[in-house]
Amino acid sequence: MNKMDRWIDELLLDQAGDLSCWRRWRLRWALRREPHLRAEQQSLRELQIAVRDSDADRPVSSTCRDRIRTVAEECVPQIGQRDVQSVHAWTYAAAAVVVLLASVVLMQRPNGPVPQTAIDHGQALVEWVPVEWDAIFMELVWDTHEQLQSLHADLETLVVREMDGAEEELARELIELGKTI
Amino acid sequence: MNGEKAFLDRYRRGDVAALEVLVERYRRPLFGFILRMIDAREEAEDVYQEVWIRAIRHLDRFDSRKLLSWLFRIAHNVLIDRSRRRRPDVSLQDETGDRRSREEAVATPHATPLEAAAAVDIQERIQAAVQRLPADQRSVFSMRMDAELSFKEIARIQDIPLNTALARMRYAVEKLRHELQDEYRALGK
Repeated sequence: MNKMDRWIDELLLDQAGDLSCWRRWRLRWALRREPHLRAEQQSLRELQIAVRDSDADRPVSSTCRDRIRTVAEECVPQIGQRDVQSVHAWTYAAAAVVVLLASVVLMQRPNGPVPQTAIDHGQALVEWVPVEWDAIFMELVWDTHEQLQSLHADLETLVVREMDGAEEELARELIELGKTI
Repeated sequence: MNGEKAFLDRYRRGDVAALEVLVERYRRPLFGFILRMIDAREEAEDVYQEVWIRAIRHLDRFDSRKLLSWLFRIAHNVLIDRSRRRRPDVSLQDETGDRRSREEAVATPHATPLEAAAAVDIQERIQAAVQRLPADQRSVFSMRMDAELSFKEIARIQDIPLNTALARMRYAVEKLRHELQDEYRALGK
């Protein structure tokens, strides 16, 4: 592989967002110095545009869509059953971490007492979180979902009542993180 | 991921329409890729269907990273399975039905007949040149161009080293540039 090929690889990686900061910087620097490299970059862009412009949108037939829908309908109950435990396990785990982190934030408040709710949640979670993490969570069933929602609701009330500014922002971020993991 | 996790969660809870949103969202890159690899519409639809059916049946194995990458991985495997069992790719010229629909699709409504014919001609030539690439180069090229996957993702999907993916792309680009000098300059402007 010659030097130019290596630079073309860097250009391709750069287009795909695969370059590290340092290599991106080095490429920018080379592009400023080397006109033929800039021409190469332009040429790659033109090719990309041409190929994309020439590619018409091609729909799939209704028969194909119907078949996919039928399979999706057939599979949904099994998938639901299989996933319910793992989804809850991870959501609950995320909630546990969030509550613990939020409790830490609350405890670090310079003024005012630590709310009892935070301590209760924190202590309850600390007792069982480290032990057989997956095994415990895998035993959870649907009704824990309500428990989880109530946990989030408690935490949000707590945040609104007890926090402000950066603390509140951080806690809210943690809660949102817990909901989306 | 544009809320794909939320759609998958809704599907897991029984909302089939949520899955259909994802099927439609990823149709163009996924079906486009399969068509590039097969170029026979009916067979491409079979593969497309098989990819989604495998994905739906094994949704519990999906690790919530990026659905499109996972779908491409499945498509890659399905295509490999097929190519081991079957004949080589059908040429573009053999697909008269598909060719006609493609011409209809690329003809612009406001162009004069002459301009429309020229546009169709250029786009046809570009598509044909892509189609003439060797399958391994075409596969990398299409994943990058049609689906905008990164090279790291492509290498992971195809189970090849990153440098191999890059080399295949570089060869593909060189061939296309050589074949399409006039066309891509005309379209790029």
